[in-house]
Amino acid sequence: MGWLRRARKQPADPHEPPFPPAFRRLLLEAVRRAPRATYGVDCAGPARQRTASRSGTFAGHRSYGRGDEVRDVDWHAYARTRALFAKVVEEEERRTLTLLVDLSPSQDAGTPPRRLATLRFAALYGALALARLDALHLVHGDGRALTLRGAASLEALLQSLAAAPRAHAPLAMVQRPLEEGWAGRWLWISDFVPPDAVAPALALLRRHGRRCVGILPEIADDRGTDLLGVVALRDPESGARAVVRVDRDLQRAFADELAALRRAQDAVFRGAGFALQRVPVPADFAPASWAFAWAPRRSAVEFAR
Amino acid sequence: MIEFSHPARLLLAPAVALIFLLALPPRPHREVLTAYLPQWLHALLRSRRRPLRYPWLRTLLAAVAFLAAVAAFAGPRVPPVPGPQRLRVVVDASASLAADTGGGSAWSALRAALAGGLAGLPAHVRASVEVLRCDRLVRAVAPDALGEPAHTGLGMDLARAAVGALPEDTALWTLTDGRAPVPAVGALACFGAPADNLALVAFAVHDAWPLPDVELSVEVANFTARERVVDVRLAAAPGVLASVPEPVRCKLAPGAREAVAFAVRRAGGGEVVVALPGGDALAADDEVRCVLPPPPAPRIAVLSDSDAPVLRVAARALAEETGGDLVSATDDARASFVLVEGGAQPAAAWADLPGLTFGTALVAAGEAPAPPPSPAGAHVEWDRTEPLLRGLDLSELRVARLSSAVEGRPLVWNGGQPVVVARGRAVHCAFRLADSNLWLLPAFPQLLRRCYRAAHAETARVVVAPGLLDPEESDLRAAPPPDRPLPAFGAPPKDLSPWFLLAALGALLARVWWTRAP
Repeated sequence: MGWLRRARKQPADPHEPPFPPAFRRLLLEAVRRAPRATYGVDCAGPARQRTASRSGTFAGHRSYGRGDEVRDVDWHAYARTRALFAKVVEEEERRTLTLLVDLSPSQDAGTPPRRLATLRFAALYGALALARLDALHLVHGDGRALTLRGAASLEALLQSLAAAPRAHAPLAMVQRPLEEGWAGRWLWISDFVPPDAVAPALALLRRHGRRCVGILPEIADDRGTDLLGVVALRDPESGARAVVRVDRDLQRAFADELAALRRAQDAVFRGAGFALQRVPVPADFAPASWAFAWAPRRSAVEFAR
Repeated sequence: MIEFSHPARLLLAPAVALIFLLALPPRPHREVLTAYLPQWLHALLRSRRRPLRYPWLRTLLAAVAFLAAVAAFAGPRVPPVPGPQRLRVVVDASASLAADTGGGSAWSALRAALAGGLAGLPAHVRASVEVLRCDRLVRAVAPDALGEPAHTGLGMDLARAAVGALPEDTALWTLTDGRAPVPAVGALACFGAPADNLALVAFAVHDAWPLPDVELSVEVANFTARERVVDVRLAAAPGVLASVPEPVRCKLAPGAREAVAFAVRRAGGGEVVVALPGGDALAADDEVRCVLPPPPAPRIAVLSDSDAPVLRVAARALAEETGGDLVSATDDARASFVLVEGGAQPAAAWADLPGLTFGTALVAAGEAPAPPPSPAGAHVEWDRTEPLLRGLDLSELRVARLSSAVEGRPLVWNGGQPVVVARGRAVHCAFRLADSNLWLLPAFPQLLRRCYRAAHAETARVVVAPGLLDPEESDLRAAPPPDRPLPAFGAPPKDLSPWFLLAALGALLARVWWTRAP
């Protein structure tokens, strides 16, 4: 009767909206409960930021761009180079989060798809950063970056995540923020498959003295498979397809391969001096389950502090 | 181009679709997106399995094997090509092929062309080489064992010998120098070029053995375009002739012939050569050789039961004429010729004894002599074609009384009854010499001499070495006829079934190898 049970098992809806109303409520609750969170900072945030930036220790220059205040321009540097540079103070850099989000096609794998978990984790981390920190640098998989400030930018964050490109170019994702001189904390949400693809980017971050934490939304398929019989496997990244006859022996061999993959992922991050955290994804994606799964994640809370 | 002897069997070919259908892998009941496809493949590899794919190559190889087997079953073959499939090569090996007309002999060119032609034949064409040499057609000659041209002319009709009994599926290729009439059919390859030549075209020996007189006559021909003066010389080793004559000078107009005779006397016998100066295109017709028999040394014995001196006188005259001796009649083992008159002798003793008997009865051992025949008639007749009697006049022969009956090849009849016969190496007369007038006739000494010569025919034979060519062979002035190429050969139907079966087997082996390949 196994086939009957398999037939009754409903696959996850790939078109399920990533941020349903229930999740948005959860998101607001998480922001509200965030330690030392500030409410109604839509107007106070920029004022506090300005104060902090002016009172910080000079840490260097960055290219003057849209959104920067004119008084941050280093006119001495302009006199020397005829180019506009904004002064960066150390305190400002410490209070930002650079969030790297991988939404490549490989995220479509899994039941439910890992992509939903990645988006919701990114939304949670981004929302906490907007509520607690001075700025959030959201970097998409194709290297495009977006800087958001204040909790009022939460909707913009969700919209940007929902429209994120389906790409994952690790080097391109880290080069732009490094050129911009973004400091602070770095958070990289991805499936890190294959591990070797992110190794150069992690090494680049380390050379620039950045601190990065890898977040791997862990789904059930990351530990093994319960498939049996003749199954067609398709790689969403490359489109490659293979038909295999799965039995117990092959399940065990596949589980061993996944274990080796996890070891390789850990080795890549350990080699760069960073941490990789695997966050289990609730199987049913219910908002309550997300709350339950999210609450004990001290790492995120500590990170937000 | 391939045709099938049983094309209906090709209807089995559509069954190859079953192979493709049976090779279909099981259909997956579910398709799963996975980011771990490389891990799946590694797990398969560790489990020594492969992804389920349609085995295109294996199926294709099996289909190829099936189709090849079906094709072999249908009897594939290459259709036959009409045309001859055998080649009869006729090589003219006459002496004129040895003529050197510049750039090597025609024979060398012929051999090279033959080797090249045979090497260029299709593999299925069977060729047989036949050589016309010394009046004979030598069949099945290996192409590399042609040897050298003969020292004589062709001696036969080249066209008739080449075309004769030519099978229908056999092509003819004649290789010649074109001096003899060439076949009107088949391929033709002519070698050589026009050239000047002086030749001995006739040779005759008139030997008067046991007398020493010999006459050698030759005929010299001038096969050139201008007048030539040539010295014909006769040569012999010392002791062969009493004296060697001086060369005879001939002045020959273009195309003219002239006879030259040498009258010599034999000294010891041996080889005699009549030769031209040489130096022309063809050396084979520049000399002719013969071996003269040595002069006789007869030991003549006389055995007579009467005291009549006629027989002894005749024996002495023969001995003196030929330089021989008279030996004792009782020691006949040393005698080389015996003259007998009267009496009776055992027939077995005369089986191989040379001699001449008159009125001697030949009896078998223990038998009485046959009674003498009836008296002879007056009319005498003789065989004028017999070499012993040719040119002799026996019309005056009279036989008064017959003394014995004779048996053998009759030479002379008297009244219709044989009175002189030849038997073995001896000549027997049925009458005593004294009972006839034979010893008075002028033909008697010649008859004695001829009987002696007939008794020693092997010794008296003149051996003429072969080498005298036909005048057509020696005349090299004409250009050879144009060549005719070899025809297009046919080919038998070639059965391709084994090759198709081999292809099927190869496809199956490749399929097994591919299945077991890692």
